[in-house]
Amino acid sequence: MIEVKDVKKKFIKNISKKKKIEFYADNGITFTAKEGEVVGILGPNGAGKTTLLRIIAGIMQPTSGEVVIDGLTYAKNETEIKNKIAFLTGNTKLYKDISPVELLRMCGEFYDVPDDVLNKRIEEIVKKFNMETFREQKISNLSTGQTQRVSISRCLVHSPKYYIFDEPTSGLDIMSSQVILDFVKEEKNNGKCILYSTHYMEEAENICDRVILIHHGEIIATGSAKEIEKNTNTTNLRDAFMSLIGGVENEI
Amino acid sequence: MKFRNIFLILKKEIRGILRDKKSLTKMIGLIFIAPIFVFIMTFLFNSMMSDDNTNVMGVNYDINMNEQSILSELNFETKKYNSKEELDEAYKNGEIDLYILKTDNKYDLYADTLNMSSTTVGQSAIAYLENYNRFLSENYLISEDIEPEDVYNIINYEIHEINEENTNSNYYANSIIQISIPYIILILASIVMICTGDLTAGEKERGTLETLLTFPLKSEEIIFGKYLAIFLTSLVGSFVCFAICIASLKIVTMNFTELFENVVFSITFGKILLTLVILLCSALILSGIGIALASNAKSYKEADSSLASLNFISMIPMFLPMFGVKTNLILTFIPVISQGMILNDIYSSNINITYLIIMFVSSIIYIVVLIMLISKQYKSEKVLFSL
Repeated sequence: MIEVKDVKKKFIKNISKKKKIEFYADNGITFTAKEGEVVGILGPNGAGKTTLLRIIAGIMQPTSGEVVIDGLTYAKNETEIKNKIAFLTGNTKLYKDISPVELLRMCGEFYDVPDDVLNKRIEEIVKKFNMETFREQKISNLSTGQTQRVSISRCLVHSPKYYIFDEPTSGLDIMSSQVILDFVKEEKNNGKCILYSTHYMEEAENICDRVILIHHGEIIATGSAKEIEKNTNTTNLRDAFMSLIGGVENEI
Repeated sequence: MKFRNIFLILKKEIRGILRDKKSLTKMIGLIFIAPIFVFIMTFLFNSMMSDDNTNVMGVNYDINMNEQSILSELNFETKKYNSKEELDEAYKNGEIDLYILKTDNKYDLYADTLNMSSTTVGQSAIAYLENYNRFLSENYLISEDIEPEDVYNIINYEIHEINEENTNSNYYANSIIQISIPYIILILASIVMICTGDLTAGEKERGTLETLLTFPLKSEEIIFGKYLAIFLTSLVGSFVCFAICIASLKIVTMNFTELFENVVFSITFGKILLTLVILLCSALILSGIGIALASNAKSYKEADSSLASLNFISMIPMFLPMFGVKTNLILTFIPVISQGMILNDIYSSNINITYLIIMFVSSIIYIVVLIMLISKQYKSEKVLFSL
């Protein structure tokens, strides 16, 4: 289980040479996510989703609060936790000068997967994602859809228990996005826990069991999409979100 | 820190460097500039010193048989003009290299002293005047029944070489050696520059650093692996460059014997070993400075401009000896410059053991400080995420 306990992250931004402003990207975020559950982290750009997911993935330190995964904390068990997690973002790029198989091997080695297990798993992954035809080609020569398949496949190499996806479909066409959505559904059925951040509300409604709406670094609503819509007297998550923040005019 | 993880990062980075054809071509190109430079410089200097070059001297007087004999030995041809204006015009048109204006018994030599080639010709012209003056003096003494030897050789002297490896007897040949050896440090700095920008800011720019941070690796392991990759690449590059430099210098010293007359370029096992150790120190320091400089850069381009100073610093030891600056206590403490200067001293057979020890000890201190600094930098979110 992933437990996020009162996580706060403060940043200092330089406005000019003399002037600095402090702000909280995340301000007291608390929630839990269990196995077999897809939890959507929703919010507009700048809401604090990426910072929160980076903290959960252990690549950023919270200013206060903590993340506990299966009873382990980053302060004491960083390696153990990272071995349980796969992190994929829409902005993350792959190494261009290597082939998909070399990438999978490299990732497997970083996760310390034994050689015999790794070889077997690479073959399974290549088959699962239909990568046979381009398995030895340089990633730089692959199409966007093929690259996306390689991106997801590298998350599987260490057989993680938890997936953290940060806007993975951002900027992708409908076919490439579908590969990711299918993968999320499949892994959920396999009992894996998935944290899924997006600003596409419709996408979240389709795949998330539970949704956490974040605005200005704070949780403004949590529950299933239906529950949030019911509580806000709206028919979709987009309207629910607008209702909760008081409309676009209020924001501007 | 786990050595296995450092090794995996090292393996990943070395593979990246070897597969990046653009960077690899740049590095190989830089290494092979060394022998080209040595051969071109040797060829140019050799042709400048060659006896086959005949220079043309303008004069406003008749040259007698005795003068002609002296001038022939100095490879001078003469052309006679009537006035200074005509000589000036001929010089401007490139018909003559310099000219002598004779008025009664006074010879005025006109030459461009700022031009290196004219200076050499000017020295030959002075030799002509001195030799002719001596010839006339000897003739006068003989006519007065005085033995010229008794006048010119009142004291006898002879010069004996006490340093068997003296390399100070030929300015041009020494220049080639003095620039070629510290040139390796410049190549080393350039390789560091090429690799560091790509491995630090390049990885941020491409968006692959975030992926790397999600693996169960410590930031110290990542940066240490990157540091070792830059260090090893620059070290191998500098060793290859050193071997090529020595080979090309050996070839030119053996084939251009006239230019390298009295210039002994000998290479012993001790010199090779010392050079390799100095290059090792330089690679360790330059790789560390490179990472420290490029860490804060958000893009490859930004890193490139931050790293430009590295090339500039590494060029200083190439030029200091040409201006007569010798290795001293202060310079010995300055990293990169001290290594270049001592490398130059080794090949001028002018090694100062105290300076050598100070350079080694200070290098080790700098390396430790640099590794601590870059480890700290790579724990900072500001550096990792360009916040």
